[in-house]
Amino acid sequence: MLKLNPSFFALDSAATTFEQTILPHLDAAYNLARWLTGNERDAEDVTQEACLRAFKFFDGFRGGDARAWLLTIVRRTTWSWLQSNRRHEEAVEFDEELHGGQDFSANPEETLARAGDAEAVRQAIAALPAVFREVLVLRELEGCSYKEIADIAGVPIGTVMSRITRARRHLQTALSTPSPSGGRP
Amino acid sequence: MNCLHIQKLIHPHHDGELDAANTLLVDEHLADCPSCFDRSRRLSTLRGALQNQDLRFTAPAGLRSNIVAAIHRSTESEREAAPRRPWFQYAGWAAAAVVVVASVLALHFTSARRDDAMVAELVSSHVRSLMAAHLMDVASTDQHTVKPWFDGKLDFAPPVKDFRDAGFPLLGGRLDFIDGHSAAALVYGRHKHFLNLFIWPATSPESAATRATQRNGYNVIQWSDGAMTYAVVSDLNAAELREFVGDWSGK
Repeated sequence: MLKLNPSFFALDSAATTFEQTILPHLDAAYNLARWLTGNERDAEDVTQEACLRAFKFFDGFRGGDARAWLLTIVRRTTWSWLQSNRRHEEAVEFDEELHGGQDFSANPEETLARAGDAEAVRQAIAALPAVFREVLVLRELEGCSYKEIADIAGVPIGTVMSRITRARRHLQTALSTPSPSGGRP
Repeated sequence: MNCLHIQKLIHPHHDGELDAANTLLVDEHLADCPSCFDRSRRLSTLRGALQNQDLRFTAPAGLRSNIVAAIHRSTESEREAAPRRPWFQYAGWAAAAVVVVASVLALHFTSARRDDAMVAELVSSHVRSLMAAHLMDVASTDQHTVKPWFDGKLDFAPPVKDFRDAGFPLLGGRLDFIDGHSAAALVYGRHKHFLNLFIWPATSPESAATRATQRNGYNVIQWSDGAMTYAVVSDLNAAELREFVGDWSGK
């Protein structure tokens, strides 16, 4: 039966437009949430909540980059979620004192012995502090530009650059050393 | 050109984020410096490893349909604001006529609907904060503890005031998300009621007069001082809530 909801015809069309412009970026949204939350169930919950928020704010979407717009909301939703559901070390969004001082520059003599091992790469990314993980995921897995990441994460481009550099140095160090789980004295 | 400087540029160089002059600078240095060349090569190896498509998670099959269903449910619930009798009881021609009228009205009332959606969002953020034990991320009655807590968490510095003397003690603060951007939420108490004061940067430099609305039994007052937009939400009665706004604005 044809179901007519005449008085809110405009809302239906908003839902359809939302499906067509925003939901094609659902994989990107889920990927970010999945890497930040660390598991499937939480990632699904957060992604769904973020999409519903996005729909509520859809009027405010001015038709720019839909993916960046959605990812901004996903990121913020995920951080709020982490802050209310996780213990502090994961929820500390970023603390330059805490994360910023060290230089993780890898020894150039070492080779990236484990770069070919996909599981090792996955573990190394998962072990990154979340602020580094998010910029790395946006840059390397989503192919976002520094400007897009700066907009999504709400930080200056210079900060994006230094976080990406540090994230990669972390990874280089992790992938240069033998498996961290086994064999160490 | 020293290696330390080049090392800072290697990452943006790989990311295609350097301008032509700096790109040339790095290229020339890499041609001459085996050590930096080696770093660059290692970075290529790492980036190659990260291009593995298995690293990118894809949304589970049911997620999209769940979201679509939830969106349609949310539009249904907005419909409940309108008269509740099922429309399909009416003849098709009447419905069709209403479609035409509603479409015309929708053009006129888009901004009203946006305001309404904003109020709904404020109220649901308020309600959410009372559930789920998520009222406060930083619990402190000291404005000098709450204000610095926001540093680095927001790209603006929200004003934080305590009105203990006026009977609205500051209880803490929280990060929230309103109207598509991050917002500071300050939590105040009044007897057994909680007030959520949401603060985010104003979009227009003109200050906006207070606008009071009521939704689902919650009172909402919004205003702007040109620098920040404010919205306070509470189940407190409208008169006392206005008193709070007066205290905040220093009137």
